[in-house]
Amino acid sequence: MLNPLALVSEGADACADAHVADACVPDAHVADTCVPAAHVPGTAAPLLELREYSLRLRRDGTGLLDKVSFRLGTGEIVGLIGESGCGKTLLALSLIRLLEPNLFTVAGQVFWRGEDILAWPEKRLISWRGKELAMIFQEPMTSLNPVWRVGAQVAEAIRLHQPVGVKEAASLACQALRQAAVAAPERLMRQYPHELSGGLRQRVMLAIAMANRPRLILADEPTTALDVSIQAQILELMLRLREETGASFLLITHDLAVVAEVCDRALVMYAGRVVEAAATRDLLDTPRHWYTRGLLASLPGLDGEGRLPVIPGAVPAPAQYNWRGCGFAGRCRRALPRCGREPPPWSDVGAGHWVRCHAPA
Amino acid sequence: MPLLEVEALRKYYRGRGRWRPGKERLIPAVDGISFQVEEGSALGLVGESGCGKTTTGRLILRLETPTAGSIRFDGQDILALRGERLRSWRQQAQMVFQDPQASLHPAMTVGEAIAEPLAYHSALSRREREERARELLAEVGLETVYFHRFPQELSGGQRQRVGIARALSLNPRLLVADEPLSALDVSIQAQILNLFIDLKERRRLTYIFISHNLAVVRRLCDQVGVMYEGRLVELQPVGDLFRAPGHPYTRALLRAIPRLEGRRRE
Repeated sequence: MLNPLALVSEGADACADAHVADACVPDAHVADTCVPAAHVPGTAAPLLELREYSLRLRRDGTGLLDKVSFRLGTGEIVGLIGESGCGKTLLALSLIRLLEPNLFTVAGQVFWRGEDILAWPEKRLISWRGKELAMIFQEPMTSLNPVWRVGAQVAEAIRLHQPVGVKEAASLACQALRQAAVAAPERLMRQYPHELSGGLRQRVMLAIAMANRPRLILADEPTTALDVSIQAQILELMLRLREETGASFLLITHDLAVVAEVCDRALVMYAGRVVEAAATRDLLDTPRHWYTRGLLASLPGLDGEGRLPVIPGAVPAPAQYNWRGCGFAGRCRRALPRCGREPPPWSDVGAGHWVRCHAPA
Repeated sequence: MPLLEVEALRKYYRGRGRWRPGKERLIPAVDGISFQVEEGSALGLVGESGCGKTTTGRLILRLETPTAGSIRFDGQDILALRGERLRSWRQQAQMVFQDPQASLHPAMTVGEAIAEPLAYHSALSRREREERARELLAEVGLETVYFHRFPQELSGGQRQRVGIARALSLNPRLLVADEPLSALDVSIQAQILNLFIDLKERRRLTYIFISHNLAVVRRLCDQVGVMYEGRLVELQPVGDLFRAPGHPYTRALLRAIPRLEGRRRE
């Protein structure tokens, strides 16, 4: 596995990279929030790299993602944390290019093994999506076809990307299901999604995602709809699949404990921005952003009693995101007067731990 | 005397005999469970999907009819209640559901939804009902601006607050909450959990709190029942259960909870 802390020296190289600076989009409010290239958190030899990736609604220019930069290495599991409405799912959907292009404007760059995918034609995307990059969703029932048998749905994903016949696809599908730790794959192949439990459905989704041996899987809250015991099984399975296939995962979740269990590194998002990035242990032991601290404190541990400390309020709607200052200032107990007005700069607080806060903890 | 006494409660559903007529199977959803809950205390029911915890909650509220067993509320046998007496008892026991989006009418404003139970169960005028709904809204921590909003304009946490306000509108003594936090973000879960704790203290409410998350149950409940395949495999005061879980299944459930210490990666 890659050392998640390797990014520090790597970041310095990227600093010399001239065209990174060009990626800074001139924009009245947010020009000064441009992350210097050296501050791009990530690892060496990235599989995926985002440079100041921004997303807006075309209709009225509402900002949805603001200059998101990070790298993800081969075989890494990176957690993307934040509450609903922070832009996590949107980021994933936009990375796999599933958003209707006419509705959004995009800025910045997204590199897939060194190539800027934003420049790719649709044809190239179709052969890449589902083959090299796959996605699994929170509620498997809504992504499985209710009138198709499971076997046919796994085989479909295989036949779309591999030149195999019906029979061979079926046997590959069976293998994929076995790899996803399904006890009796032959029987499951003939069943319909409604006959399966939630955990089994999520295993089918994983089997479909893994069927073409992708390099990266975007997992959007894959365990949130499941019971704790089933959640534990799916997390174990993700770790095993990473070992066996070397695939990377971008795991989207609002549960820091899930991140603690499986992720190598984690990014914390708030109001369309990444606000903290660090190795998991580092992030959980010494969170520096007040938002991360609030999220951690609000987790009911197994040893506490009584009321929990909470973050007051809720994530604003995108139209109310405050990008003139720190997006979290409105809910932050430690907010200074300037927090609402000046965008906080990225600061390196050591060992590849980056935080965007005027007064980090 | 305990407020709620459940004894040897059973609920069997008929299996589908469609393809094999004559061979009817009975599926035990709840298979002989007994417990008592004191007034003002909370019982947590934990277990995985399909273990019968939701059915137990529905049986207590008489939303389902038990196959066998008895349920006594404040000393009276509620399974024997009929007609007007059943109707008036229903005010005393209310339910909070997992998915507030699914249990709130999309064409009713928040205020109307909260005031609706009062129209059926009280003699209050329209004015008084509205007044009461506003008080309830404040009690669950929502600003009055939400009074005229529709459920789909609210966030998940706000909708769950409305669900709770609606359940409280008739001043019930018992609240059955079925996975009320599971559909919410962790940070919002904490807010709603605190609300449940506050209401318990302020109103001396009695809870049956159904959840698969033992960490949440620990903070709210006084005793915990662990269910597996329709049976109560363990029933203990909350402190004892966490200190010394007796049943292997309880230990497995405790192990499954993801922890910040993160043992899986090492």
